[in-house]
Amino acid sequence: MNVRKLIFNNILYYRRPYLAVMVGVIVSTAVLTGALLVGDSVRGSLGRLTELRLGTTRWAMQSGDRFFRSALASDLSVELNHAVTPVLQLNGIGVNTLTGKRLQEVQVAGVDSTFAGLWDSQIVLPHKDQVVISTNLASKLELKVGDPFLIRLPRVELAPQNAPFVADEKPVASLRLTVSAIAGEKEMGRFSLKSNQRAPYNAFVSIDQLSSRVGLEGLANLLLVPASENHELSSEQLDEALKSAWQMPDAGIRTEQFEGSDLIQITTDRIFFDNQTVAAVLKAFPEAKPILTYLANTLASHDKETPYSFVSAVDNGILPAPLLPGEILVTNWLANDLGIRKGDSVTMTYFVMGPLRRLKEESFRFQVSGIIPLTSVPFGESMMPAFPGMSDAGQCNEWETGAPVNLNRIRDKDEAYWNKYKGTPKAFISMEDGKRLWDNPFGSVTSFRMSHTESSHPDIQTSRHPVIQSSSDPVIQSSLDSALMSTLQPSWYKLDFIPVWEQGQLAAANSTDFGGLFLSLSFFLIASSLLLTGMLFSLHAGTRISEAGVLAGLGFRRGLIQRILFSEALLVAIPGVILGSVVGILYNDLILFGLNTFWQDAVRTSMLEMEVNFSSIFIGAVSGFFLAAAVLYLSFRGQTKQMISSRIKGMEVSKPTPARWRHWTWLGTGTLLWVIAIILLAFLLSGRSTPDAGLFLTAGGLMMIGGISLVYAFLIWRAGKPSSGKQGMIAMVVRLGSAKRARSISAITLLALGTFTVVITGANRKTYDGSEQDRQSGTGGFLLWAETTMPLLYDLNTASGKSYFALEDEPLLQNVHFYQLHRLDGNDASCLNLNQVQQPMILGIPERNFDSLDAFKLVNSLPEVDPEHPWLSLSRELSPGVIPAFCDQSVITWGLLKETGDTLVYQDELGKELKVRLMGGLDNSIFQGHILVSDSLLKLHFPSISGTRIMLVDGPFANNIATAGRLEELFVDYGMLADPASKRLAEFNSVENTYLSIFMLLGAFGVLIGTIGFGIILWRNNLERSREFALYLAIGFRKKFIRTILITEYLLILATGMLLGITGALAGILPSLISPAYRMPGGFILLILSLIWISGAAWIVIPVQRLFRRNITRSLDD
Amino acid sequence: MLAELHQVSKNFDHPVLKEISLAIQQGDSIAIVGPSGSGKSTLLNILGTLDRPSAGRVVLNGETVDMLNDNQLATIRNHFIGFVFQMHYLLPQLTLHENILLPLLPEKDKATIKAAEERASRLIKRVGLTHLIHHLPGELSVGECQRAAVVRALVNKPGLLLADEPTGSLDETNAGELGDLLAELNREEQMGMVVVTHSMDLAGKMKKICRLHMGRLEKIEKP
Repeated sequence: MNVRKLIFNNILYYRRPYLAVMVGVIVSTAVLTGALLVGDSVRGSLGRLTELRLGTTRWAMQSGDRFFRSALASDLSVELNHAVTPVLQLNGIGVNTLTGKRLQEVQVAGVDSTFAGLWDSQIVLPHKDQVVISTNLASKLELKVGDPFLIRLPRVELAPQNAPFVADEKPVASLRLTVSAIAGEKEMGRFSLKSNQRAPYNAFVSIDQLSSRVGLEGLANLLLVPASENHELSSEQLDEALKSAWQMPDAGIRTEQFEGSDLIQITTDRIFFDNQTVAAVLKAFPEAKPILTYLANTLASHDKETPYSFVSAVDNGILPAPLLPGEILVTNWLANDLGIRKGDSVTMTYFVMGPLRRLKEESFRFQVSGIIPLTSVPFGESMMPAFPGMSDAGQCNEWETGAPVNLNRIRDKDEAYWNKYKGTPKAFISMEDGKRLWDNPFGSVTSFRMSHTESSHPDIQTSRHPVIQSSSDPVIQSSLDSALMSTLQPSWYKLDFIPVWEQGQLAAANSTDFGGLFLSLSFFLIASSLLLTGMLFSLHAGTRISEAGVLAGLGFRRGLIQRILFSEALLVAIPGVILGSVVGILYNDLILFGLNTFWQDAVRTSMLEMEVNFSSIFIGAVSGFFLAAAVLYLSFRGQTKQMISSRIKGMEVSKPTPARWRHWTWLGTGTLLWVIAIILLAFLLSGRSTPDAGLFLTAGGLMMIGGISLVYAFLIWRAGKPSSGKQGMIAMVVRLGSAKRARSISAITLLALGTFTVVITGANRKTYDGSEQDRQSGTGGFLLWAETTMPLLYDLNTASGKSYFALEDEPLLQNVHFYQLHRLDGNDASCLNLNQVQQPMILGIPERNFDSLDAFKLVNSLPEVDPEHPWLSLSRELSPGVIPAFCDQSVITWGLLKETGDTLVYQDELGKELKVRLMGGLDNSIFQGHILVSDSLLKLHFPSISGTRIMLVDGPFANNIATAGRLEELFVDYGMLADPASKRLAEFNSVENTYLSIFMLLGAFGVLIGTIGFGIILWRNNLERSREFALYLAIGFRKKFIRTILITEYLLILATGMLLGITGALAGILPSLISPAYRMPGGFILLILSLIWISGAAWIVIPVQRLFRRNITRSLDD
Repeated sequence: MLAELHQVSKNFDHPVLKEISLAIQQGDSIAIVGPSGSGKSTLLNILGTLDRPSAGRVVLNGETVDMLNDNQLATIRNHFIGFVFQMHYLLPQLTLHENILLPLLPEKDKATIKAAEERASRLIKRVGLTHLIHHLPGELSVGECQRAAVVRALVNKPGLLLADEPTGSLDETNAGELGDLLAELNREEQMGMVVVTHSMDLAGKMKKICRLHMGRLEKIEKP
């Protein structure tokens, strides 16, 4: 016989209670391990989704609304000796022409034969008039192979669509295609560059067909570089190759030589040169002369006027004589038309274009400095930039400009002029005046002129060609291009490789920590299973008092007795932990099943797969073991002392009458906690402090703990004050309960905690019934949130905007106001995206409107933010290149893992660093996932953002559904989706509500385990008290009476526990309760509370009934 | 002197033992009788170091135990004292043999263990339990279990055997046999023995009888 054998014998002998202890350990370890595995599985699944969406792509160059040669892919491929795939990616609207079903936000990718290779896909890429669609698109539009499919695409221009005088044609391009294949998840069907677990709706067409259909022949806006078999390409290698391979057209810049002249013209596809490029051109060619050509609505003098004339602002050197500010040099054609001479004044009126084509007509008076023959106008018609819709118009009445043109004003002579001279300027002003009058966010230079023979650039000087006969002289062209390109950076034109695969994996690795989340969500379940484990072991240890006494009598030291018992428990815990780890895998599987199906609102994907990470199992098992060990140790540590001191008799020693100080201590503690809680509540409700949900919860928790302390104090008092006379049933019940006060208070605590958790969780479910009209609510009081696939270029509140979209006579829109928001595309940082994103989408908001509406509510802000007018703090840059921003606080904390005061780093349109400082956090709002900045600052840094695709609609709530429907009809070609703002908010809330549901479910399991523990306490109580009950029977009590006493005693414990939990929880949710907008899901909470009551009551009644089925009077024989 | 109580008193809510002095020599056998609640078991517990006196001094094997800690007391109990209780308190999960050898568990010295095992075998044979040693307590009669409990108490060759109502749970025949066994072992082993009992038959088999009355110990002459 040795200690090991004794321990082994003991475990075998007491296998039943130890099996119960083991079950407790299994449950707690399984939940722990399972939660960690859920984290691994979600991370792993997101990593796999990254592979599915990118295939073997490692790097991507995405230029968005800028377009480069698709041949750049093959040029790069040669430079790198590595495959490079060009893609033309646009957003469109998909239509099943058989059913009429439409789908907005279809990601249309023009691809070539190299694309499918990125996925090792067997799919044959579409030929002309064919389309390969993703599974989700096929499913959504009910399409199958062979079906016709129509894609509507936005009009795409090389120039920014909101630049002055760029045509504003409605979306026109359509592709009528036949579905040739359906690409599955592993076959490029999930292709996307965005870190998001939600799959886009993809349509793949031939890049040639797509580019020619939208007028972008030979162009692309995306390059994909796959992984290398031999070695991974570095950023430096790619940059170097790009610098070698890129050409001027990739930057949208063209150099042209004039036939028969040594003059060179530099123009841009984007009409206006940005300032950065202007500086670079002047650096390469200091002698280059900038020109700004603009459309004047009217040139007038002496009551005569000439409509729609181009006027050029030029630097000295272009014209024979320099122009001073305020002077205008006119052609003889204009002089004749207006009847003016040198020294006369000419008034020029012209449009200044604001955001969303808000036009303002302005005028300026010039003095005629001279008259030149039309035939000697330098550069002639080439002075006019290639305005889309104008430069290719055959006649004036075919003009398509982004500004209103009154065709009635156009005279025959104007038509004749256009036919002969096109956009040849009719007048010239100084560059100084030109910049002052026509400067706009896109720039103030439309072209450069220079003589190559005067060029100071060494390459050009060495390649002198005295006579240049055409614009296609390759030597000169090449020299010019390389001279200019040496001063340009590809990144200024969004030609920049991004490690998309690495970023995707990083976003997945740093995604929402589901391990931590489920550990938190499972907290009550883990805690209750551990408590149950401890309770079971404690009860078991209690049955071995006499054994411990015998061992003590035989000279066993207390330490040895403790070691024996603890070793038994630990030896039982070890297989429990091992089994728990295995069960944890199943638990993980179960949770994933839930997340993929009925809890999908929390993750927005059904693609989560199990990933068993052994380090997590190890951590879970070790944590489970140590937690179990700690609980086991704590649960019997106190008992062994009693076990030994209670000696060998095996009889439980009557507890001595409790000392009065114990009663006073608990009474004092309970009272103090209640006083603190009430003061805290009073302070919070007095309005002297911002209501903080956390503090209310603290107050509620204090009330619950205080209540438990007071009940315990009462039980101690009652135990120390035996009744001298006959007692009523309740008094007797309380007296009996006070005798076993430790057990009673354990049960009460367990039930109170469970009830508290369940009620708090249930009551915190987000409901917004009736609050959506409140400006301070998450909807901002707005009626609708609408999004379009195609950008809207006009302000819908202006007459011109209403006219353009034919909204004037819409009865539903009479009292409606639109807030159109510019958006910088980026990743979705809302709770709908599990990945951690670095650069969320930015929305430009009208901060002054929001301020006057007092819309939305900040829950956190920096001291610099004026609490009275928080939105106005977004108006100004904090310092050059640093702009202020707001964002939903939940996104700041959980999505971005940042705090207010932190900054996000972007690149502005010119490739410069732009810092966005988070100045404040909004309460849950419809803006979740977006960074909010001032619209003017957004436009300042991203002037090319053309039109808006998001708008808030303000109007009468009575018609919200009808208004949404009508707007969708009116903007059907733009792919509008309009939803009540409250619905959008509800979608975000559904994530939180789903988490709360999970928490509640797991909490309910925890409470269930708690009630099992409660039942075990009662069962044990019944066993220990069987002699007492036998005695009652012996002295003539009826069984029914004893049953009633027992059930009343236990129900009192159950009711007290639940009542304390409910009281604390109600205090915790007080701010919601007193809010008129809040509607507590009372039915739901009542249902849960009823289940707890029923479960608890079952654990009370069943053991009591069973107790009296056996002959308990035999207890008296022992 | 094996054990001495000097002016030992014990108070709970009221005084239970009042200035009791007692000396136990090798080979002594003392029966302590008295009515229920008179403090007999308390006295035995104090003598067996399971309880501490409120006042007075306890000397065991020449060593004053008042200042000893729990572990030192446990060692004294293991090496110097043997306990027999009213119930046998054999561990139900162990065989008779394992129960008997249980007191050897804290012992580390192999020679001591070996000697104790030999002694156990001899005592098992002496009490007539050889054929039952691999049985579990649940398979034996109460009398057999109580005899095994006596062997367990003696396995470490204690100087002092303390028995608290050892025949209390036995029938008359078994009680008689156990009383005889204790007396015989006292003679054979020459240890000191203190027996608390209500049974005058058992008390009669001891060399001295003391009565605990009103907290004081009075010696009674044997009839």
